[in-house]
Amino acid sequence: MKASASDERLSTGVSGLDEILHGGLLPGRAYLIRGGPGTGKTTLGLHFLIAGAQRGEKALFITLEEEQEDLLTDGARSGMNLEGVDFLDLSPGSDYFAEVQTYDIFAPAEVEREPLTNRIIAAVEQIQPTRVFLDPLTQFRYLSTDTFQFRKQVLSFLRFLTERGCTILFTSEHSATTPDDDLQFMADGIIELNFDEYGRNLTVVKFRGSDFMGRSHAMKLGGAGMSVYPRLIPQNYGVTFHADLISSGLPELDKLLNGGLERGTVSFFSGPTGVGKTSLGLQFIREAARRGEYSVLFSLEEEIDIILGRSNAIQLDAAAMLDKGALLLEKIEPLQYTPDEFARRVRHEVEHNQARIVMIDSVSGYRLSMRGHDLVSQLHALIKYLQNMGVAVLLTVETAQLTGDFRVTDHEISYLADNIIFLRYLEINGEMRKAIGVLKKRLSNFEKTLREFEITGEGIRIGQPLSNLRGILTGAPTWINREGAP
Amino acid sequence: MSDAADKLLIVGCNPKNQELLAAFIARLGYASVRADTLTELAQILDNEEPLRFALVDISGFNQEIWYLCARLHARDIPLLVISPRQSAAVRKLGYEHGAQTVMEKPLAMRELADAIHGFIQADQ
Repeated sequence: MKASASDERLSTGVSGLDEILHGGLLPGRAYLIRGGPGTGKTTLGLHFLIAGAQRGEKALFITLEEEQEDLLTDGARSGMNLEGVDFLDLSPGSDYFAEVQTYDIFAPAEVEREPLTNRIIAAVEQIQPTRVFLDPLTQFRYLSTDTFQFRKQVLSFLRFLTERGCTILFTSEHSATTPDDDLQFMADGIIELNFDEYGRNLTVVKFRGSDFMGRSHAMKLGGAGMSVYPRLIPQNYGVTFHADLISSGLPELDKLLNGGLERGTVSFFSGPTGVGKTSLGLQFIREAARRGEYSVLFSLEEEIDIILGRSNAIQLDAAAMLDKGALLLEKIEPLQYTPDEFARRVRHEVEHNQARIVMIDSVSGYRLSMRGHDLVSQLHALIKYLQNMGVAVLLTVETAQLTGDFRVTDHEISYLADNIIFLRYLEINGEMRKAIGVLKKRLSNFEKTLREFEITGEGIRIGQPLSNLRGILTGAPTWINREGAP
Repeated sequence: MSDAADKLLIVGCNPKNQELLAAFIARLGYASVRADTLTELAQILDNEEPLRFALVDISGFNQEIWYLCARLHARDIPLLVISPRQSAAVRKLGYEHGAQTVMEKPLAMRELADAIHGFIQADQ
């Protein structure tokens, strides 16, 4: 009997994919998995069958290519327990090559199809599966005399299975010379697997009867089989929160910021290398730790030991915060993550560990370390998500120039910022000094003057407003109303 | 059940083809006798075994096959020649040596079944 229309969903066995499919597959339908060699089609099929077997459903793998034994070995190697999954192995054995003589009296389609069909019918009627994975269905193309016959046979075969209450996943092997457009039209849903220069990804391009998350999503094949990382859609997340001010713990800095930074805002700490952006972020994190809040610092450039050593030298003592569980300091290695995977990592810290400050150090590091393209919009989505979750986001933004004409960022991303705090080197009376200022604060007023910024052995020191200087943004300011001034 | 006179002769040098043809003919309800070599075919003709119909796949045989085809025709055994490809020359030679019809490989099972039924009914 054909499954009736209901809200019931079948898990694919891959949680990220279920999320993309808004809960899973609709039962009693046939879904096509497309992809080139080595993209994970069979792995996804195995997950689907195992998910069924674990729920006590009958699951049948019809293999026309890989031997059952190889599938079991590969599955075990990937930590997949195929217990409870039935196999119908229709792959040609070695005897076919060694013993079987060739023939040309009839077309192979006429000779081979009937015995194959009979074996499938017998297996389906004996096992009565509710989940069937057929790998690859395109083999049937060789058993059809023409495309019309193939289309008719596939439609009839899929109907034969769905009428018996099966949900079917089938794969296709396609190329420029043998396209699979016909199968795409016949399938109730299409999951495309791809492997490009940025890594693996998965896209749902069709899902009859249900909405789904469009675009491509990062995917990994590893020790536990397939993992899918749905693209972060910020508007799907949100909590009610008060945009409280969070203090830096430094009264002068708080004055500059009209009290501090608000929760649910993104703050850019902009400045050239070595000026103290990371230390400034750690200052906010230390104050959060004092309030008993948990923060996360993702370092995309510097090693953890260097950050720990430096923070210790200036009394910010990140190591103590780590020990108390008030801080997670994580180094993200180059090309370790795609943006979707990184977003899932960040989400875990926010949703499971209640991180209240997330610092990403730095934007250039993010752009260099992430695998993928369109990184600015991915970073935008991550930041928006964090804002919706009421997290204070600290982003360090490196500017290329040490002195001279002022720029907030070289990445054209300043539109993302609610607050822009900049640090810069100044030359005053032939001496190298540093200054801190606020350029933008979306939710409140702020001090328009700059203050001297100094990192000392006792910590960060913010001076009084530099009100007697002009031309500060040029990096070489001059004194106003002072003897000798022009 | 078919009696001896219902036997169809299948001639061809590819054993797998012969096996498939024999199985196909059996499914149609007829018995068959196989000749996989020219010698076997000559023996069957020498023994004057009763035959209703002959299917001769000429692929792989030398010119002598045409002489043996002519002998089958001389015994009024309806003859279907199977050609490895579409060839006007083979078709001409086939008809010259007594073939009622010439078909090219691969054969469509339904077409072959119709041809065999047609010959048998015409013979009756």
